[in-house]
Amino acid sequence: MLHFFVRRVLLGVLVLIGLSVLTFIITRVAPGDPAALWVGPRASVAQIERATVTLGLNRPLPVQYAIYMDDLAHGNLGLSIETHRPVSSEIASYLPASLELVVSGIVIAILLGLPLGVLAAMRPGGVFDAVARLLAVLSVSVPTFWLAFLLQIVFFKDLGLLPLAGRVSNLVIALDPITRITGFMTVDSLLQGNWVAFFSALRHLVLPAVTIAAYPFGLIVRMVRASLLDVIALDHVRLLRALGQKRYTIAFRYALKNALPPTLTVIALTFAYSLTGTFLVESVFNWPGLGNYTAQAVITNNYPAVMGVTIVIGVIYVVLNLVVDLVIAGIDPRVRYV
Amino acid sequence: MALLSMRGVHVVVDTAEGPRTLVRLSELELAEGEMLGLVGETGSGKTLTGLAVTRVFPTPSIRLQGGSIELGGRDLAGLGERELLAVRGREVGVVFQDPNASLNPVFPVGRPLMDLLGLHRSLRGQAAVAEAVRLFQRVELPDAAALLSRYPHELSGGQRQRVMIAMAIAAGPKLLVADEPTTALDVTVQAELLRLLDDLRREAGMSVLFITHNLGVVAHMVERVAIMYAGDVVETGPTRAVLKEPRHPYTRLLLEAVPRQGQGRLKAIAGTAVPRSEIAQGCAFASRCPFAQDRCRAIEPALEGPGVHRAACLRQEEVLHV
Repeated sequence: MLHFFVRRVLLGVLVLIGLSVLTFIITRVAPGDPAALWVGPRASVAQIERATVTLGLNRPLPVQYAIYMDDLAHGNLGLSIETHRPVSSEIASYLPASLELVVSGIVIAILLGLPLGVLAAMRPGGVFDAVARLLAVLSVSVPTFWLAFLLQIVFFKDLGLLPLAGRVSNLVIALDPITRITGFMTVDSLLQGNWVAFFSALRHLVLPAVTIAAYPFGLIVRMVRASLLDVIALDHVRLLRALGQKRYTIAFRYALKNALPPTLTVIALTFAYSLTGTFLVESVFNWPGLGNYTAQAVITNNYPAVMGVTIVIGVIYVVLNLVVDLVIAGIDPRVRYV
Repeated sequence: MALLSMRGVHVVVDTAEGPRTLVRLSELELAEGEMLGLVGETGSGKTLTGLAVTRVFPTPSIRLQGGSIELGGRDLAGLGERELLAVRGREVGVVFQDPNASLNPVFPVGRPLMDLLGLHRSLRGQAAVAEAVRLFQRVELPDAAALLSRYPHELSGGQRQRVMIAMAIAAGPKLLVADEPTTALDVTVQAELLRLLDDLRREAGMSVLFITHNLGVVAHMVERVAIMYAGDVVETGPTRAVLKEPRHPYTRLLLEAVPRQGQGRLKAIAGTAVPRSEIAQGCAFASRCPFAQDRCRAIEPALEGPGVHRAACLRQEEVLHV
């Protein structure tokens, strides 16, 4: 097991190094002069040249990469070309908002998608199956911004149940402000026992989280259904049926465990994807998250910010996959020896 | 008295062109405490006949179309899924052919057994563990207590098959359907398992429907056999009589096809088995039968003969005296 773990960690480190090389090259060959951007539109040629030296852009690319990696090893992601502030602290201020959104979305997707996928597979062609397949197709194919608007129209405009946008109401910001601890507003408000703020943050979270949940929900339903159908046809499931074991026990206690590994892999993939893919959702719901930040950085050719985000997402992705691999090894004892 | 009596059992598979017949059984009976060998080649419908008792078929497209399956006087064919649930495991135990595929790889082997003990005998916690250990010891598994928490891939094929037998007898069924339980195993392990099944039968007074394609296995272990061809029993009787004096040409040819020492070329039965669904009328074996006459292709023979040794052949007296 330790051998397995060490190998997976080393593999993850290799992936990250490869990722850093790739993003480094892509941002350097992209058109546009970062030095010119750094000093602003009215700068003189001399100023641009000075900035080129300050930023180290006149040195050979391998040297630039070495410096970049050295900084990275010290947790330094460079300065934002736009704000001249450390990229690391900017990401730290935006990441929790996105994480809160994506984690909530994925949790919603799992809580709804897993049981629905199981119920669908238990009776292919049945009522649950029809509903599950329809919902899965809809939720995957519906455009995110359209779903977001639809939810806003129904739950804010028509029903008046939930807030339109933002992370927390202005009233809370004015009267019961949340002190930042984790950056997760729901968690921070709970930690401070600030119930007013908690419910406000929770109510603000629902619509964007549901919007985020749509895509992974569809994937999970399809994945669980498909893998479970494969498992149900196997002899060990048939044997339990032939020996009188109950259908729900077989499906939820036994077969689901067999079907879980591929599903977990998909969940990990969509999680990382959703983190940067939240741009549309964050725009519609005015959510101060990483998606917005990244989109802005790409538009303004802010290469330290783009690289910083890429590396951070890469780390999250690698760590998540490592966790999933470990969980799968915990589920299936045969994996540990592979 | 017959514990199991199957009559007119009709198993079909649903296809795009409509249902296709896989098994159309004239009759099959199993006495209390008896071990019956159900013998046939691949595709003869022997497995489906055995599975029809619990109605758990390999795919959902295979289903029981009609007939009666009386177990202890009650017709299982008329029961709904819910009522069958109480029959499966409790009154009928099942052992499958492939021990490698029949245990869930992500659960310790004791887990499904203990869950079944909870379900059928309301044993939980320490009581379930104790009973599971007893069952493992009963099927002669070494180090039973430690084995409960092992995973299937840590066991040998023979041990896995014993675990499956332990699961099948956990609720003390009156009937055990053993579908080629030894086919996937070494010859030496086969013999041990057969002895174990025979012990269990004798001890518990349990009837065993032993499904196999291996006449050699049957010859030593089973008192009575039924030979299947194209979804029906073509000959049945005491094992000795059937093997020594076959009354059906198929049985005869099957016996001649068994390899013997000192024999030159292996004999094979000419032609291939014709599926039941493609036989419009007459005897299903007629197309491959050296004894076949015109009347064989017109009249479907019924199981008949003197006493308990019966065959479904119009010319069985001639077959017997060739």
